[in-house]
Amino acid sequence: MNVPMKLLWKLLSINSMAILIVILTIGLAVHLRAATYFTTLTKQYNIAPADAHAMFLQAVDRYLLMASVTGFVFASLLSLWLNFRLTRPISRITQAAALIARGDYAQRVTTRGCGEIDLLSTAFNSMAERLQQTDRLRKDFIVDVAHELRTPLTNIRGYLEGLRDEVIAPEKAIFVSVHEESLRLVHLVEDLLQLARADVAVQDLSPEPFDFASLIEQILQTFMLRFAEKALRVDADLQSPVPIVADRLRLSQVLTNLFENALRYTARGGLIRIRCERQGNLIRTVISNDVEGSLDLPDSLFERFQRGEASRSRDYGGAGIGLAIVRKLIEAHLGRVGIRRNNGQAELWFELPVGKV
Amino acid sequence: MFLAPSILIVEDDPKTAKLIGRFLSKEGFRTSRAADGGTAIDTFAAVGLDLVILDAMLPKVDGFEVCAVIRRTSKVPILFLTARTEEANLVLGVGLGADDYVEKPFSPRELVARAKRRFSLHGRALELTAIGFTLL
Repeated sequence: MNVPMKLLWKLLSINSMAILIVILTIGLAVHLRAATYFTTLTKQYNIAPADAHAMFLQAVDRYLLMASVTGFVFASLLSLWLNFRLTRPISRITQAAALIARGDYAQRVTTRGCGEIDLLSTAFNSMAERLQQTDRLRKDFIVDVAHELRTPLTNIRGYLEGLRDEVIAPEKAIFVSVHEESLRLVHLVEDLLQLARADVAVQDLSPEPFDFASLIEQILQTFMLRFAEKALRVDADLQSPVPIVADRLRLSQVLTNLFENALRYTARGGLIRIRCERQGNLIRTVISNDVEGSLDLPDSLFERFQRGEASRSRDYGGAGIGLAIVRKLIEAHLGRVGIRRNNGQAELWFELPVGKV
Repeated sequence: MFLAPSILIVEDDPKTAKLIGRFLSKEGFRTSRAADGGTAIDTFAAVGLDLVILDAMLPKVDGFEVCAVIRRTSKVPILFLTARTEEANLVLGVGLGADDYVEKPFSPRELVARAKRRFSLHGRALELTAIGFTLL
């Protein structure tokens, strides 16, 4: 890299300039005065060559002193200027850092020129940008969580108040309904914990070799009873074995969340199709299911608290965290995930690298 | 014949809508329900209403849009249900024309009290208009 050398060159050039001035002055003095000195002294004043030599040395010393003072003053001025150029932006960055530490994430430093300071400013600004973004996401997240808490809390509070004030008769259906609302809170808390764990997964995967197709089979088995309750048909085409090196526990979580979604969003009596095959160095899995016509499938479904438009009515019971967890875990494995609509079916696909043994 | 005031409840969560309905019927109001913004606008155009209880966050057409559409043709009192503080700020902001709001999780009794208060205020305003006063 040539950029970090810039400051060195600046300092070097300053020193060289000071030295150059000294040499030039001495050189000039010697060149201009030496010959005249000797001639004048020996011929006109009959001074002995030894004395003349001493006088010459004295003159050289004098000019040397002058040159040194000039050089020193000049070098000092240049150094001062450079120092000023260096320290002013640094103290500005220090001030901005102090303000950011106090929570004012909008702070930025203005960059000028193209030296190390500017590189520092640019790096500093992108750090500030990132902090501001993280802070905004955190605040949005808290607002979203609060919002998700409010609906079940409204119902729990309202129905209990109704029962207390005898506006609502204490029927079994009411208690079932209030109990369901409390379960919504329970699920929300569980989802939040899962999401927090998925955040950690990015730095903390424990890969092991296993057959991905049989993992799908295994997770699918745990869902069969619930699929049957909703009269859902399952068509699985798994070309076992599909060897992979990945975090088995985390991928189980991915599959569980996806089947949970399929269970929730497939219309009663609908079909769920599962395909898994190796394509080069990737393992591609597609889960498609019949959905109701009005269900939107934007990519933002993978953001926290986003649900398909029709499911916003919350009849489906999800808090919109499941797919956010899926994306986090797949991306932690350097894979990709997406969703699209295909002839009245929602088609969720993801690709995972085979991984190194 | 005297008819009890009619209230439209626009709320996407069925349980919350039913809850509000029960409390209001107990007080003798007539209630109807719309689960999304589009239905709310259609229902409002079809039947005469005396009060609209409007959830701010609705699928497809949100509460603020519904409010704007209603305000084009009517001065019916609108009471918002909000789930976010910034929604509450919006409700009372300039130009929307909403009359009041309660923040979720709200107490149904408080909601009923506010609805009744709207009727007395609205009723008085109508009486004043009838005898020649203009309020605005």
